Amino acid sequence: MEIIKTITVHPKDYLTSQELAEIDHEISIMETREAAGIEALKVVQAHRGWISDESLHVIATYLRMSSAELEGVATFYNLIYRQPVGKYVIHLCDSVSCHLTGYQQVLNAIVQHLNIGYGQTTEDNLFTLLSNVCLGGCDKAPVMMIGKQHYEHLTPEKAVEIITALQNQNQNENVEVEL
Amino acid sequence: MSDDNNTPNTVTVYIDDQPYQVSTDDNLLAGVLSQKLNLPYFCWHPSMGSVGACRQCAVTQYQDENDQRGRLVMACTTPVTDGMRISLKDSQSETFREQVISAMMTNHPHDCPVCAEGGECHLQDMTVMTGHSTREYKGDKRTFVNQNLGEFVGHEMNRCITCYRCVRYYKDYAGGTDFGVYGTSNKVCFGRQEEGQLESEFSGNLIEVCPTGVFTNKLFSAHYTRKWDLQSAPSICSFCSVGCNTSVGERYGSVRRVMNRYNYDINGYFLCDKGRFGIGFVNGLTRIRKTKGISPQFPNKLSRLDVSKALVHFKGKHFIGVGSARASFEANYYLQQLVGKKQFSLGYSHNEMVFAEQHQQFLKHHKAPSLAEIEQSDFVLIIDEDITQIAPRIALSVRQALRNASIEQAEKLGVPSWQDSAVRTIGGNTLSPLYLLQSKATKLDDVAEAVILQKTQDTIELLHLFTTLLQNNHELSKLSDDNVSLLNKLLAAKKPLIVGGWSHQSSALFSATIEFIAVLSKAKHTLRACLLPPEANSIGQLALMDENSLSIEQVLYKVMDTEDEIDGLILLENDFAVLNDAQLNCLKETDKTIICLDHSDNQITALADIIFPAAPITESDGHLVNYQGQIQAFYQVHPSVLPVQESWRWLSLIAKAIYPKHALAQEVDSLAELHQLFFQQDANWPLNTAANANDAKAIKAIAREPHRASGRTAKMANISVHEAKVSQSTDNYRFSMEGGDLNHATEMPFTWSPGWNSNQSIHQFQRKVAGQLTHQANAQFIDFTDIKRVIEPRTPLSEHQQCFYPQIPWHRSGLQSSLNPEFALLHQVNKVFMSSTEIAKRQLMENHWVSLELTAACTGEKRQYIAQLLLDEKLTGDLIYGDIDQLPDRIYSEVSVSIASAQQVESYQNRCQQLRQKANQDKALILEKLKVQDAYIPIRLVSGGLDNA
Ligand code: SF4
Ligand code: SF4
Ligand code: FES
Ligand code: FES
Repeated sequence: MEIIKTITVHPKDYLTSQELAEIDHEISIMETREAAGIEALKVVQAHRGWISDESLHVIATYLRMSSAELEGVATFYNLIYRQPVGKYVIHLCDSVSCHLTGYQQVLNAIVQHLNIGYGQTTEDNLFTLLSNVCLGGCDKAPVMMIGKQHYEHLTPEKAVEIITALQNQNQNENVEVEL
Repeated sequence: MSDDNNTPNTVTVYIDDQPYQVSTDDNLLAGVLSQKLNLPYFCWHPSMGSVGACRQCAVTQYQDENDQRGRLVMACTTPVTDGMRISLKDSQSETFREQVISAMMTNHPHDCPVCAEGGECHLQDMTVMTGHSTREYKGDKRTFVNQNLGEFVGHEMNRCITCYRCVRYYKDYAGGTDFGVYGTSNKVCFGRQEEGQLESEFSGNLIEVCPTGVFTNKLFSAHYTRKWDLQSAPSICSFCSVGCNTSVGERYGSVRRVMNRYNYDINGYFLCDKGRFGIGFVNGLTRIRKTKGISPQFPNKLSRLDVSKALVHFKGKHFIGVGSARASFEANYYLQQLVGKKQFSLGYSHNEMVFAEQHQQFLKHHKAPSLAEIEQSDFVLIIDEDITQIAPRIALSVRQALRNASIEQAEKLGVPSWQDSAVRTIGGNTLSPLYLLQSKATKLDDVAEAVILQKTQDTIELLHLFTTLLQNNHELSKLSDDNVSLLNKLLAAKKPLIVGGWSHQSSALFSATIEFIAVLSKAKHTLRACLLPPEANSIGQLALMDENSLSIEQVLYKVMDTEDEIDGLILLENDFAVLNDAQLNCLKETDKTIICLDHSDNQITALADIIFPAAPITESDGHLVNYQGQIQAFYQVHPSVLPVQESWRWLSLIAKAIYPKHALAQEVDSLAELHQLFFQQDANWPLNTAANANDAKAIKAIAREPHRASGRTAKMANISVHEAKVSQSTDNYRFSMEGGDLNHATEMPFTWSPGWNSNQSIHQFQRKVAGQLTHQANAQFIDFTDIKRVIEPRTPLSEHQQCFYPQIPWHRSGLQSSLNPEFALLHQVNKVFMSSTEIAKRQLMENHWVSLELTAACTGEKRQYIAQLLLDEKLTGDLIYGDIDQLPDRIYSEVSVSIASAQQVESYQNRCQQLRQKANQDKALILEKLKVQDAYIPIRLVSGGLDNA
């Protein structure tokens, strides 16, 4: 007797009860079920750090929408991560104002300091570097965002300083960062 | 969009100071194009409307004649208003349009030489049209990883210009769920969430919808020729009863591809995948290319004399003729005339004859709606038919009909129907009501207001109940809520549509449907109804049916009966798929002569004493009759290689040998001659081509090749260095680059117009964009009013015996489908669906493998299958349905289901693996053979029959 493996897991077997409760809440305040797509992705990402293919399929099933459509949502928003990311995700603005005020030098400094390029994560799983089109701080350009914090008026030195501070903070806490 | 072509809603628009009469029913871009003026565009599509995404269609609009500056507007999102003044030629809009292309080109790979779209690419055309001729961008280009989208559609994402047409077509228009758009800003890509076969039955239209080479035809690419080198002919899809118009292209004597051929009333701009990708059957490995049972005097050159010598001893003998619904209308008629009506069978079983006759009667009183008319409906009821599988293009039209509710909502707010994104936003999930009365899940379920899943028997009873209610105005107490709202909405609708058909092979269902429609149409004059037969020429067969027509059972009886003076059978392109094993054995054992005319090997040709290789549709001239009774012509794409020739040519040789005294025993060299001969003998023969012959002469025969075709003298150089004479065709199209103007063709072999190399050139040939063709011939319909027939009612197969409903996907029906190895690869795994109660009752478990034993009602034959057992939550009771590969389409009266052993599952999986391997090997083999054949192009001087060089 063999169970068929192609059947996708049931959402209730995959999502935790807390995740389900949070998603159910979002569904209850939306006009249609699939409108809860973004929020559901955010919920699962908050718990698991990123959205895996499996998470995507399960959320789509739960919201009764196609995974193609949910993928469209997930990849549209750059705060939804479809790959594992480090503890800190650096969103560096590469739009016009920042470009005019020294973005390239800031980028070079970060890349050199962390030894990663865009879309990559440091070996210690602490930092992921991503670009971002305008963080809305054009008057304080260049700008980057780490977590919920914006860092403005960046210079190459200042950017490295900020990152080093986070690195030190983590060493002190001596936290093991795992994926 | 309005269905009226001579719309009175025209106003004067000044385009570059010239006045034009432009319709206000459509947007300004459509209006400009309708004037046959050139204005580039990408995201707008004549049947999908405007979204204003690409900014390519910019024009300058002026306030009045004094306004010198004007302002840029997007023509596709601008309504047409009286007296408006625009310019296409001013430098402001010209520069803007050039810059739009220029921006798109920064990421385009410029790989036209290796792109299958090259030479018929809308992007190439628009680039030239805007005058963008130099590459200035020096930076990097973004690159994507492409996906394997399955057997048919290629994916080359780097060529994308982000017009969004593909996703709007696939998702919004065709209702596909496995396609989307991903990413943002400069990195947007289109495709599936993960690699895999595209699931929509209409995926092939992506190839024509995408203005670039992102989506291309994989089968065409594998054996490729540029459009300008293709020789094409107008043809008709031979896969189902819809009769979509196609343009089939060939090079070096082998068919390469099928493209949509615009027909306002039927297929419009779209085909289904079966019609587009199924044409490979003409290149199949089992094509019959030699005669059997006839020895030619000179090997390799069969002559008419050889044929008459071989047949002479049959002179005066009695043959039964069996026609078929995949053979041409002419060939069926010819055979019927030769053997005589009393010795002719349409190829229908007893049971089929009963509802075939009802259908014939029905067509006398009810004109079936065209697809364009179906799209106007505001209520649809489908009675136990999976139309997405049996007549796919109609399902696509039904999906459009369901949008009428939101179009109406938008219209109330003053938003015209062509404002696609606005209409969709206003409409939200609003759909016009679709009710499905059915015995298995179908693809339309997700857009239905209610799916009433029940056994056919229950549907029959329900229809009777509906009919009585309508007749006697009883209150609706006996009905469930769904059924009450069904009736109420049906009665309230302005343009309701009912669809039924033959699939269940149930005369009781058929007559219940007809009765219901008859009673209802008295109350509702706007009711439209269409009944779908299974094959391309089924309705053509109905036209030949009369009280003498034999059923298959009668034919077999006569063959078996030693008393009967029947000497043999002539089978016209009929593989007798309806026969059960016992009946087939009868034929195996008979010593009577079996003469077959067919294009590919099958179970009957295996038994034949004499085989005549018949030309398939791409090598034939003839007609097919679609579900409405519309008679449509198809033409040879290339001359057949002798001795392969059209069935009607073989029949004329058979006539001269076996029936020399028959009035139709005459040499005919062209279809026109054949028609004339028929007409002389039978004033009711509907196709009197002689009457049109004068018009035809006035118009120079149209060239099948574009005037840019290359290699005319070189392509045969390995055979002869002399320039071969082009073969002379026997119809109104030439096997040549030279001929009459495409502009005059009522049926165009291909579409092309200066500056418009892609299929989008079609608007140069329409009266107005998305309207009738300028030279549209009047559609001709079979006139059923003169046909008399009374079939004595026979005991029909009892529907209540049926307990298993096979799902038959589009890619698994009929001989021609089975000849495409790609189609075999589409089957994933056997599946059977039950209700939870049934699963419990049978002590099974969902999501497990089961072994299924099915007993055919008619013969008691038992067959065993392994399948996955799945739960269908909509199911109640003991209704079981499923998709089982290689399951003959019969009524199954018994199903026993047990859990499958690991061993059974393993051997099933091995078998599937082997089938897949075989299909892949066949695919490779066919391709290899075609490529070898490319080097030896047959030269034929005349495309007539035997002895015609
Ligand atoms: S893939 Fe083709 S149709 Fe789709 S957006 Fe790109 S260019 Fe347009
Ligand atoms: S709908 Fe029918 S006729 Fe039209 S393309 Fe498909 S199979 Fe052919
Ligand atoms: S351009 Fe960088 S914050 Fe706006
Ligand atoms: S065609 Fe008008 S904006 Fe695209």
